[in-house]
Amino acid sequence: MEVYEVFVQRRKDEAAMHVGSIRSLTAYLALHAAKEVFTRRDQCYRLLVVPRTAILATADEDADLFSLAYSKEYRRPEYFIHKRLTGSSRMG
Amino acid sequence: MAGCPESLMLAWADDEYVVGQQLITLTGMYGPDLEEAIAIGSIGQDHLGHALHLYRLVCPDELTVNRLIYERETTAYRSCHLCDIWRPDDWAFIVVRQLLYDLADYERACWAGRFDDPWPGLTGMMARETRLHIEHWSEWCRLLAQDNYGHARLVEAFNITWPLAFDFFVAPEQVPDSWSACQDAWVEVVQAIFGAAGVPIPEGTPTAHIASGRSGRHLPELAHLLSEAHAYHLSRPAWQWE
Amino acid sequence: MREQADRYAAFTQHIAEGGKVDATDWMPDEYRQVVLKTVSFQALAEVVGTVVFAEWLPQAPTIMSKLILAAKIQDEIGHGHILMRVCEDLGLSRETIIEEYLAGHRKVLAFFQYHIEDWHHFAINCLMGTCAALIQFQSLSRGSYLPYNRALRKIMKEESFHYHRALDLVRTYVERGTDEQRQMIQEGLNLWWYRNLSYFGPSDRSRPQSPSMLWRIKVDLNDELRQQWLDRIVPLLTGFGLTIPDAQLRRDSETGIWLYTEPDWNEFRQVTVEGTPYSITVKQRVEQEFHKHEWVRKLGQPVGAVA
Repeated sequence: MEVYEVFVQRRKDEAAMHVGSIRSLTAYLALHAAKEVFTRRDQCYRLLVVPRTAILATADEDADLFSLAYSKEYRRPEYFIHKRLTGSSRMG
Repeated sequence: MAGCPESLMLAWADDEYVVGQQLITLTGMYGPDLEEAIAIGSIGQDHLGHALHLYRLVCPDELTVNRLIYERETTAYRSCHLCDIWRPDDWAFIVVRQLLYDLADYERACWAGRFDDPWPGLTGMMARETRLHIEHWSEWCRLLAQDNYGHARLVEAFNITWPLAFDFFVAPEQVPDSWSACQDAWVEVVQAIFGAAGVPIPEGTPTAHIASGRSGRHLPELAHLLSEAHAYHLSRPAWQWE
Repeated sequence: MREQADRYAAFTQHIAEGGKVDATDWMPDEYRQVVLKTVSFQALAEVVGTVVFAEWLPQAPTIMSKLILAAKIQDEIGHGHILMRVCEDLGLSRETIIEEYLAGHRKVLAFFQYHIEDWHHFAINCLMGTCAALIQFQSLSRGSYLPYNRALRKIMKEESFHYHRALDLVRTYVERGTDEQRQMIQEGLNLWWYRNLSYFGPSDRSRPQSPSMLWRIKVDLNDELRQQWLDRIVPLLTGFGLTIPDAQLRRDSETGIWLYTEPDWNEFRQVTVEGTPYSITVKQRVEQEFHKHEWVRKLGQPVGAVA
């Protein structure tokens, strides 16, 4: 028995979103079960299931490493507005 | 379906109603697992939904549809023995019976495609939903076959349901000869799927049922199912339900 | 040790400030236990409740009502499922919850332990019950534990279908049904009013804060939710010309607070803990179902902990 994470792509022009997880004996039954659990009352273009063990994720403690605060201000959209207004290449 | 014999549409509707009724009662049960209970819920609703479409084709209005379902005697039902039989405690039985039935129902839906649909895609839609059921039950069959106990239960269930399944193909009156080709196609695919699962398939075709479900001679399970399902409605005639 | 104490203090502060917690976050074991207690209680109620409602599935009086009821039952078992998954991600399996229930170690809310005697009772009970559930889940979905909030949002979407269906049936029977049918609706209201009134639990206003309130799993008091329910349901029922079986029920014109006859809280507590003769038969049915298919759950895969 394995846990599968479920992703639903509601419309063709949207990205697939994580909606939850189910438990199943086989991958194929997981796909079937996920369809009924997550899309039976909703429109859906495509459904994906992935074994939880196949997923790699960053650690929650490292959330601040996603921050743009240190030394990569040029990635922030307001950088160029700031530069024009102040004449300075440095933010913060 | 213009041109499709009414006798076939009624038998088809009755088959789907009986199977649908049986399956939906499993939805509220824990089942092999909660995910499966949810999946069966949709499969059962598909069957009942097909029954409703077909009953509507042979009845002038909704009131008549419900009268046809609730007020008929068991002997007036035209479901086949494969649908009558029901052993809900045995998961292998459910898998085998559903697979044999859905494979036959698929042949029927494809065959019925030769008639004019009352609205575009009716038979096509039923065939596609049945196709999904076949995938579901085939996967279960494959899974059970890999386990010693599961395999033994599959064989036992097959031996009970295989002879009854031929009652499906007993032609209701006025059905064209082309219908008989459905049985041959069905036998071939059953041999492939169950052969792959290591389930021995007896040689030859069981002798035709003299007392066919298509003539109203049913297994005792059907009377029990229908009386439980219809007693409440029948004891309150002319009440407003919808 | 010091680090653990700091983490605990930081977590407590985070909750007090209205912070949220996800399944993969660090959490004190205390918090985890309170989440599990709340969620597993509801998960079990959904599974048991499904069995009670499903009794009517074979007997639904039209083919359309069979289909609609089948969809509702499927939703209810789905609610049980999604809440079981929340528990499993915190280390408590659905099998453990069911086995504890079968061994008599788990309580089930009194509401789910009574037999539904008639199709019309089912309709009026569903109307009151889904209204209560929606109010309760709306409140709970603002709690601190995110996976529970997400599950509740999905559950609420489906409950609102059930609410509209129940409303449709009650309206049909009251406005277009026979005299007997109107009587059956009133009879159902008489039978189920106090059971729905007590759904939110006894007053917890003057009691010390429960762990679930302290950890903000629960955010509103029982009485507050009950008042919201009365705001909705009383005009709905009286609008149908039905008589609520409580002569004391009225709204105080100054405070706007509903005054009512208290339900029998002794019965509520006793039934929640001990069940009823009917709910014992329900438990036996769950036991049969659960055990007879155990061999299927154990197929193929080696026995091991589910992630």
